[in-house]
Amino acid sequence: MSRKLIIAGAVLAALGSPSSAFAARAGAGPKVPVEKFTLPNGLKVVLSEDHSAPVVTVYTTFRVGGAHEVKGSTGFAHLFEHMMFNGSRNVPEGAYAFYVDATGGDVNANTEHDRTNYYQTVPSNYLEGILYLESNRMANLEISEAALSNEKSVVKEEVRQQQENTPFARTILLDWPAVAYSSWQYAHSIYGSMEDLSNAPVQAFVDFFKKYYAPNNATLVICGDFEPAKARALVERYYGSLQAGAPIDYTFPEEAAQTTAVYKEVVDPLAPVALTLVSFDAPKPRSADYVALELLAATLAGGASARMPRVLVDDKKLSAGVTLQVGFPWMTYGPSQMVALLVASQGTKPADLRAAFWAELEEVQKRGVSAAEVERARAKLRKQHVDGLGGTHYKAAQLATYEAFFGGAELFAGDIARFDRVTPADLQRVAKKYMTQPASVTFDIIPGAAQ
Amino acid sequence: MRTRMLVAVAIAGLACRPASSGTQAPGNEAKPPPADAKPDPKAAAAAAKRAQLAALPPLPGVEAPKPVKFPEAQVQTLANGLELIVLEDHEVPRVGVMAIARAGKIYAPADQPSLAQLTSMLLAEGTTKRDKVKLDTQVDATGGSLSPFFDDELSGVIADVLTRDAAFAFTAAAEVMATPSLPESAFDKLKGQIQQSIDADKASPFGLGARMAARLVYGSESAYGRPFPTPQQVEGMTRAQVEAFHKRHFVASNAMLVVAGDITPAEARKLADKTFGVWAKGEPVAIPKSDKRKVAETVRKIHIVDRKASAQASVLMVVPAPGIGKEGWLQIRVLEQALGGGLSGRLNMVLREQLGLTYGASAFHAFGYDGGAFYAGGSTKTNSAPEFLDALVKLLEEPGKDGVDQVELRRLLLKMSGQFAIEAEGLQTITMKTIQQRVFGLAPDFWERYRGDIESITVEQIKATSNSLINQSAAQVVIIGRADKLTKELSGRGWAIEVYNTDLEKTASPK
Repeated sequence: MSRKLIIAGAVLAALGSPSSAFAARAGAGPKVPVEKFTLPNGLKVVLSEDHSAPVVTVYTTFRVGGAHEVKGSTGFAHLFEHMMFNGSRNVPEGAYAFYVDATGGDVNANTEHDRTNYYQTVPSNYLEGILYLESNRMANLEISEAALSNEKSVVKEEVRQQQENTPFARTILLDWPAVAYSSWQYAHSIYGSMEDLSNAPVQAFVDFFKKYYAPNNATLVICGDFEPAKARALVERYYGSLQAGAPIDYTFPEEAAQTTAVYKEVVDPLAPVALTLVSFDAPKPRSADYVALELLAATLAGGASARMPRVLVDDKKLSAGVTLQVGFPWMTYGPSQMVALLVASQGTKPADLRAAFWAELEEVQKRGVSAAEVERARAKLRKQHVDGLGGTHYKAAQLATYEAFFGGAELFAGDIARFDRVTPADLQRVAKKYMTQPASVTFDIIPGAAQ
Repeated sequence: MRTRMLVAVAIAGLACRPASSGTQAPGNEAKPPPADAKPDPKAAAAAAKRAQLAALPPLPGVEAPKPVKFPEAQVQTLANGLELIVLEDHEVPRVGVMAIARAGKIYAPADQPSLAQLTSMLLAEGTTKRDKVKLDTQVDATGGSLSPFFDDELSGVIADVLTRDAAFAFTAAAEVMATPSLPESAFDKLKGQIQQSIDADKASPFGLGARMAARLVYGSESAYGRPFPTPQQVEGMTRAQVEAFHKRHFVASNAMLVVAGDITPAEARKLADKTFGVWAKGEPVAIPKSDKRKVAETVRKIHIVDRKASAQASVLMVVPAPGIGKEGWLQIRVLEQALGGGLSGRLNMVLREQLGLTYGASAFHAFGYDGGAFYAGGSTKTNSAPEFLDALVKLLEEPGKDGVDQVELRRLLLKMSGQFAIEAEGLQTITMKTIQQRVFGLAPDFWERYRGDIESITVEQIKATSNSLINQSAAQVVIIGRADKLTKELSGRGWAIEVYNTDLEKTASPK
């Protein structure tokens, strides 16, 4: 046993051995059963039973997002996230929300670069009703000038609220991606251009919907309290008659490697404190290097004992908080980004904070990280995984991700073991390979004077 | 208890310190609301839409709802007076240990308003047995977390671990609560973080809205209505003050231990006796209730907080309301749903779907020991603020004038019942409800009876509650945005206007 492992063992021993009664119950969490099938029209369906509460989540992912837009027609993917809550042939305008709100459930949707997701967590006695509503809007959404006009107004207010009236948001959502990504598909704003939205004819929206909201471009996950045979029959009844669309090209954007450091200082009149964002190119999710970067992020910043918060926040008192994340502000499934967010403490100059950040990173690149640090990070990630298994929404979202992007929903439950295969040497290697100053994009967001 | 979070939700769906008498922009003399002589076509269209939706056939295949079973709270009392509450749920191999003292913000002295927050933050800075590095390292090695928290009423720590580490969670939580080291070396760092959180509140529509609204509802006599702490108050806190606050409040008879998850009551009792059993008993601390609610305003008034860089106006109407469990609170919950309940709530149906004025509007009820408050609003572009405000006022009047009909009430009650079922999925929500029941002195079967109690609500009660709640002749509205533009847009519309800076100090109206 190496000295590091002995020390790690000693730390664990210091905690006190788990009592046998508790140790016997320690496990990886409840099982996640997966039953899946594909309808003749191409709709991928994943069923996962969980009878722990009379609740069911219906989660639909369409493989369409900002990255599927073309120049001159931006903002379409996000606008459809709104349009889908309008009327369809059998469900008049306003009725979707009327029906779903009456269940008492949680209902929402979100748009990313590579996907758009619609999800409902409702009392399980409403399962059939939700499938009826979901299939209806997928088959027969009404795309009228009036509905488009109102949703464009709502989107404009969303942009004002979420991007223009929120500290840091304009830089994170608009300025940073434009620099960090070389491909136009990932670099342009997910909200798109209001001018594009205003100028597009109704038919352009109809065409977009027809192309991307077809069953062969969707994954439907049902997770929770239901009987699989009955659920399957309901899916076949409500989705079986939907017409498949043309095949979709699933090629991800190509990214040119960042080889020259970019530094930008942005004054944000809404910002209460200085924030530094440092980003690096990262490979595709689930590649070996991506997994190592995920574990590296957890090792360096996941938990108060991790070295970045310990050194930058507790010891040097330069920062009020440090986060490291791969896939930012949401996961991309082609080329990705590793992002550090450093909140400056009161009176700290961003340059001093950045210097300390780089010093810690260089230490990792030169000397690596300890086995104990890595083991703590693995423990954190395992705990987060187990926590998520208690809720149908989390499981449904993960199953949709694995089915649509990662080769199959059945891979989800065991995939937490991917971190067991990564070594401290792997972390040092990816830190040296990806997190270098020449390959970095840095934004210092400085509070402005208008506040 | 949930004011801040909910104000954030409303402002996000939106966006409130007092002064003595009103500084009004010229031409802003307060007048009673104009008589509503002719029918409003927009309101008529909204009512017609509601009627159309109410006539829809039911969704296919809806079955009878299944019974909802919450874990039953098992309550025991340790020899030192510490109340132990166990919520047993073995779905996931995880245990949460919540050690909670009645030591939230309202218990801090008025001249040291951040003392409860600083004390809470210091809990994570190590104990007399383990310094911060050791404690953090040991906690992280479990994969779990040990997080200090505080809100208006409570302060404490949550240890969240996998079942195998339950014993450590009890040990760490007990040490942190009973014997924190309160190291002087961490004071500057934590005071800086507190000041940054205050600055963040002053920079955000959410933070400004929550503070101003609380001030309008509760008034300065109440600990709920305090101004922002000053930099001098933050900087001036001493270790002796923290130590005294901790010694007085963090004692067994002023606390409770809530354990939730994969553990039996017997196991939890054994671990609690071993770890928390030695905690000093102390004395319960009296709740700093204020009997003096803010003196009711007599004129309609808009309180503009001048957030100069705003890209929107965040509009929030706020009225005093009963607290949780008090007479009328269930009816207010129904109004909350009728007005703010999702995209099909009356606010969104008109302000978002009909008029396209906002990304989202909402209404909600918040509460504390000094009663509650009812909020409604949303964010809109600055020059739409008058249209948004007019529509909001009309929408809030409607349930009192026209009532809600039996069909809408049935639907709202069904929805509230469904929400309750959804909450059964989350042990954290159940735990919070259990803590609410203990903290606010609600009946032991309060939440068990909830679904049955709401069934007895009548349309007449909703109308009466709405009328007593929404007094349009003295409505108070908070708007966070650009005062220069807003005062011009809103002048001469029958509202008195007062303008504040982001410290919530009254200023002269911009020219």
